[in-house]
Amino acid sequence: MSQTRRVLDAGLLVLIVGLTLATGYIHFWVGGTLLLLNAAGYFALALVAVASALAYRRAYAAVLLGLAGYAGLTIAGWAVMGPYFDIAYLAKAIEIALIAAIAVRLAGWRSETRQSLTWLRSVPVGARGLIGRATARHGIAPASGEE
Amino acid sequence: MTRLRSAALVGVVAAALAGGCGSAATEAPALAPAITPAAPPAITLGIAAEESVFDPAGLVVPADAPFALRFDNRDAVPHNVAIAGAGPGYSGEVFIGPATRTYSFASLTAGSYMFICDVHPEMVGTLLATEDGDGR
Repeated sequence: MSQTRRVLDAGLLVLIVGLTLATGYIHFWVGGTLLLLNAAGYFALALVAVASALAYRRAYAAVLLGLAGYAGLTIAGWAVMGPYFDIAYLAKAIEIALIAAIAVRLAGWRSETRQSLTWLRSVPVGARGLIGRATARHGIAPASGEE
Repeated sequence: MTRLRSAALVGVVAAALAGGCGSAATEAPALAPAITPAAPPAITLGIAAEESVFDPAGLVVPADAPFALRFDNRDAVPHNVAIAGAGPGYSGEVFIGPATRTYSFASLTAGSYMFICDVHPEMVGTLLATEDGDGR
């Protein structure tokens, strides 16, 4: 990755995390059970986004896609349920900006996005393999214990 | 073909009108006819929100008469008072406290209603519209 792209990538990460924390904070500040749960989701996704960007790059684009989906669902839920007041409109504007920033990041790093989605598709297969191995091991253990 | 299209269009319009009438009739069956905004409220009651709890949690208003609620939001977060199930005209403005607003509502038929904060639906209270309700 060139120096310019590296800087742009870091800038987009800062922007995405900043917007996520901003809307998460608004939901936390307004309060109420549903909004607190929503805020917890945003904070957790911000953490996962940073962790994947720094330490598990192949999951990064998939995490961003999940974050965009979460923001989209939040907007849709609000559109259906409300309530409609100034701070809510601000939160929705931030969420739209967040989705736009993620779209720019995913479109600008298409090959990484494709690799990440391939990795995401392989996760259930890997999980099934792990479960299968664990089950097999579990199946052996009682037999040896009975001896 | 054109006749078929026209028949389909008439059918769609008829269905939309029937649907519209049906929903209008079911939206607010318990309400009295809307009072014009100029009608002065028969009574003004005070209610507050503090630490996301309504105080008092129970109100009594006269039935079939417009009324007002003087809502004192003492929290630094947005709240409002909305009479659940009574329709869009029964939802007060959401605002951040500490501040006070007075909401004017049209009359309600006698009965028991739940009021909530639209932002925090776990904040609830009961509003009784009674024939002899003098406001409490």
